[in-house]
Amino acid sequence: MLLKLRNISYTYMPGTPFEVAALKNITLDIEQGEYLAIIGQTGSGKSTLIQHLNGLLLPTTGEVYLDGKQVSKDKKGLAAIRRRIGLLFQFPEQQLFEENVASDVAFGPRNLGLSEQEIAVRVDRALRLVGLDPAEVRDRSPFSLSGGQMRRVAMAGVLAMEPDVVILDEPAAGLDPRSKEEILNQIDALHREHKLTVVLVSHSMEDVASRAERLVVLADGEIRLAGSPADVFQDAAVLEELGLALPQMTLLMYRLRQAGKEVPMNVFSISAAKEAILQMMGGDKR
Amino acid sequence: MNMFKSITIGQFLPGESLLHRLDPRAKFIALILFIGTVFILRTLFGYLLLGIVLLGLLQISQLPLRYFFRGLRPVFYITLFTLIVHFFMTKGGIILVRLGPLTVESDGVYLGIFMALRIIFLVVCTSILTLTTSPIALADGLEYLMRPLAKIGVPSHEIAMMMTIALRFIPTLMEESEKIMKAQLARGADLESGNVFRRAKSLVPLLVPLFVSAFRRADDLAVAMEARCYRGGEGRTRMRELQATPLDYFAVFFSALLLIAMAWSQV
Repeated sequence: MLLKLRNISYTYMPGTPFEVAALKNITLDIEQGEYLAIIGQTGSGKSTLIQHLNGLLLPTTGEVYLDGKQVSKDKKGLAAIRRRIGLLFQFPEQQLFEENVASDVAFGPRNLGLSEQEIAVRVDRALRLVGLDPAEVRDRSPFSLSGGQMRRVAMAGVLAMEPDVVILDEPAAGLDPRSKEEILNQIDALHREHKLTVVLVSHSMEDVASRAERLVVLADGEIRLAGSPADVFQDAAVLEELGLALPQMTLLMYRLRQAGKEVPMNVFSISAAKEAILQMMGGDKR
Repeated sequence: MNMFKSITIGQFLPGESLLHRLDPRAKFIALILFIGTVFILRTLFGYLLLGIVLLGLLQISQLPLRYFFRGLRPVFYITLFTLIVHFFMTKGGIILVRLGPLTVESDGVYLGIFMALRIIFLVVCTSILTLTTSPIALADGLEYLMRPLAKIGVPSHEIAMMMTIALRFIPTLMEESEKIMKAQLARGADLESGNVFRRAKSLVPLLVPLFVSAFRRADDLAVAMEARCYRGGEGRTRMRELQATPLDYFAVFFSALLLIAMAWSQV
């Protein structure tokens, strides 16, 4: 087990009138090489939860373990953890600051104390991973790029540290449909081809249902559902109650089931839905 | 990581108490009178009396006392510093303690305690105001009170508007700096070690994004105001008209009475 969270609770501003319990007794395991999606409405505690995974927040009560070692305040330990677990915040393009793309991507590797040669190699590699041409963007100011490109540069900045795990908070938020699709596909590729452990945070089932291997549904700081997408969608009623829409095609299957038809629930795409419906109709004929 | 969250000075705590409902203009005038009172007090007995009044006000305000006094912690250090400087630097009166070349003399002790009390009382008075008054009400009140100054060319509406906007964006900017700080920490930034120059340099990854977004926000806000035909204060009506009640007159009267009584009795 790569990351283990045991009975984590986190309270913002304890002891003040603004006290908020953001996480309540969360227990969660993250395995090497898996693609996990954390889903929940705004304010469900998603962002608070992921900050526990790389020690940006330490739990009020409970423990976090990385490879069996407890994550604590110790500075050296935290540096090592952040090297292994890359975290990309929501709207990461806001964190860009350098005068050109290459030095911005190099910020992380430089903090790791790598040689200039190694840094240059990693910068190019990371830019290619996010679908940018290093030769073209390397010397440009990050502020002259388009929104989608800026986000890729920020993503490259995290990937250049070559972490084992990447955590992405709403990486597709606010992008046009095409950029959104592209960036999600690139994340898929990182998981498939580079064996990266991916933790994706989203409020949209549509985006993650067909991509993630495991879903964790968060509401009011608690885990409400967890399991494979097909398992989680069995509890469509709970999801509806939480205000989390099923993917359109899965919703269609759900409605068909409510109408008494025999259809599978692990249907996320139009083509899969077509198959399922054809099979259902064929079954009726027989 | 929660360095910004511990600052409570200037924060507003919504509530329903008598002090919350008071007209901001009355609160402003009362604050000025209280500050006047703090400065004319001459004896410790006077401070004791004022302290009792302030504790009474705190009680009326229904502010959580623990939260209130915890917010004063940063001020405590300044006070302590003042106290120590006065102890050793102000000369006069009887020598109380001799520490090598340093002496603590009675005038220093006396003055030190007075200065410390003054700082604490000033901060307590202002905190009660800011904790019970929303930033918008504060700016409204200030604009109204500055209106006579418009005759000599003081742009009172503009000043109040700038204040409102500044106050409005403090929490936003704090949230944003915290987020950017975390993002850079996640990329292995080291903000805490090294000498002064290294630390100053390590602020660049925080300050550049913060300035970029502050300018963008300012631009957006300007466009949004322009789009709604904002053109300054002249002829502008407001959604909440300030309305003074007998209670407000009483508050001002009470504060003035306090000041006069303290001045007259020379406590």
